[in-house]
Amino acid sequence: MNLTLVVDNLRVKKIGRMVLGNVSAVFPAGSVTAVVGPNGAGKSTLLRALAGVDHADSGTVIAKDTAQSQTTNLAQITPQERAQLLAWVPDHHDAPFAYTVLETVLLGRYPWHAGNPQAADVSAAESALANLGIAHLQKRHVTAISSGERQRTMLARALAAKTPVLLLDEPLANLDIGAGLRLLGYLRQLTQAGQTVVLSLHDLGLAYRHCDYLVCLDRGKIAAVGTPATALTAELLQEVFGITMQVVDLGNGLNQLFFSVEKI
Amino acid sequence: MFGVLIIALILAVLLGASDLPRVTVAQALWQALLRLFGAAAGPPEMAETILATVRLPRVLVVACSGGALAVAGVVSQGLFRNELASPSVLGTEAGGSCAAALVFYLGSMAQHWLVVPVAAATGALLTTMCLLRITDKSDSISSGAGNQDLARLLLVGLALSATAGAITSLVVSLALEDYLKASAMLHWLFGGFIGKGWEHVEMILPLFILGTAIAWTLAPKLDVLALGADVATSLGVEQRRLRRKAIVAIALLVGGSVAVAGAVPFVGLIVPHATRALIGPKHRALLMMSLVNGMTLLLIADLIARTVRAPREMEVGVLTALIGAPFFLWLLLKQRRPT
Repeated sequence: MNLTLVVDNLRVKKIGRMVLGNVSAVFPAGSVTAVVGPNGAGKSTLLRALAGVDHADSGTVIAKDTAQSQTTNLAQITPQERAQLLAWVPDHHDAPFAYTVLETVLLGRYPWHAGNPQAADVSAAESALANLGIAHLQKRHVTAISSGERQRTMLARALAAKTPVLLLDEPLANLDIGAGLRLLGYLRQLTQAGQTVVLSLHDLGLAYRHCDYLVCLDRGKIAAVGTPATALTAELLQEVFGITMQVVDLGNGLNQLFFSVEKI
Repeated sequence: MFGVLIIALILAVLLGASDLPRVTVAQALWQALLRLFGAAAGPPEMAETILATVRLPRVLVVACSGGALAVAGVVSQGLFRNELASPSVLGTEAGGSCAAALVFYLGSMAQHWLVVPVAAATGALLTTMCLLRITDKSDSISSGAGNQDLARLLLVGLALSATAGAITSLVVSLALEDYLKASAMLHWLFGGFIGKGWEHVEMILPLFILGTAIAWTLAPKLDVLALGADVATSLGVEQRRLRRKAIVAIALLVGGSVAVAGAVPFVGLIVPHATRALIGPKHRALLMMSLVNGMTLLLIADLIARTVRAPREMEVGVLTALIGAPFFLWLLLKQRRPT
């Protein structure tokens, strides 16, 4: 199943404060969309609202099945059905108990096995671990690994679910540069197979080079949407981030972005 | 671990204040078993009477109470995602004792055998609900879990314990006018199994079975909850329903135990913690093994309490507190590792 997410007029309030106001965006199936924006712009909240973790005060999120032209309003399905469509990874993790890495990744299959993992669940978990390059950690305890390794464990937990949509909040935050680039490469493979990937990123250079679409948030509102090349304009960056941008043509059809601040 | 439980059970039946020879105990057990099926002839002998009316019910009550507290500890630790959470640390036991002491004082226990267990369960329920409400408020403000949340949880538990303890003390001091009533109440509050009979088995057994059954159905969800409440929500585990059921399970288990034995502190802390260290944190296995270990631990503690100064007895709650409190301190110090 390939799903395109259509977000219409989404509003989220937290402790009386409007965190997201009238956000409308499309996250197409088979593509990687980066959500960017300054601190406190509402990136995490948008992902949390899509995952059903944060309650939306108004607006709708509709999942369109691209093959069968069938639409599902995510507010009208059960939590379990929703969990079978979307997997979400938050930007921080704590591990209160010493589960092994494999046990943790198997918990990502909970929407299917409800506590009784079958052989298919175990093999999905093992291949997710292998795809993230942490198969060697599977017997280690999540309490005794580094934060980057834990981050990859949580990503494997989401990948093992094999949901049509992946929602990843700052997936590169604790990863070394090699692990980060390999993750982006692997997400690219998944989108080629039809999965929908939405991730929040701080590195605009990576968003520019590795993502198909870009949603820029600023103070809870959409500041720009489109392909990275069209959305990332000098005006937008000046207005939203207060930075200047220089585009250097590397010759072989690749551009390199340089960012700088004028006033500190 | 099952083997240890069986040995503890045998010892608990064999040893006691009145010194029965082992052969007599075996014979008397056999007689009692026959009588159960209506096959025994003649009036029961002394040994058989001691076994059937004193030791057997007491062993059963102790086992149920130990199992109930251990399972309540597993559920508390899973629910609060913290290995320091337990009925005695969080004030659940104190809340149950307080409510039970109140009905004790008001004299309503004479009316129906269910009054004390129901009151104890209600007290435990209210305390746990309060705790969840207050700690939830802190969660919604700072979503980051950590030492602050732990400190808050323990402080709220402390405050609830202190409140319940104060009310209990008040009730006891009011009851002092009637010396017999006050002394019975104090013995019960200290936590012990002195003179527990079949009526106490009837009190705790249904609560123990029901609470354990609910806890068993929650076990896989508690595993998911270990990933964090938000991740659990995104995996389709509804937090409200999970929490409501977990609180009910804790209340039934703690209520049952408190109703028969008063507060027996730290069993619900030590047992799940030690069991997790032995077999890992997966909640189904953890729950079953904690149940077994809780029974074993309390049977042994009760055995020590009633034989060490025989024919006089110690309150078993005093004993578990003497062992449990330093253990809790050690755990606290260990938790201060950097994360």
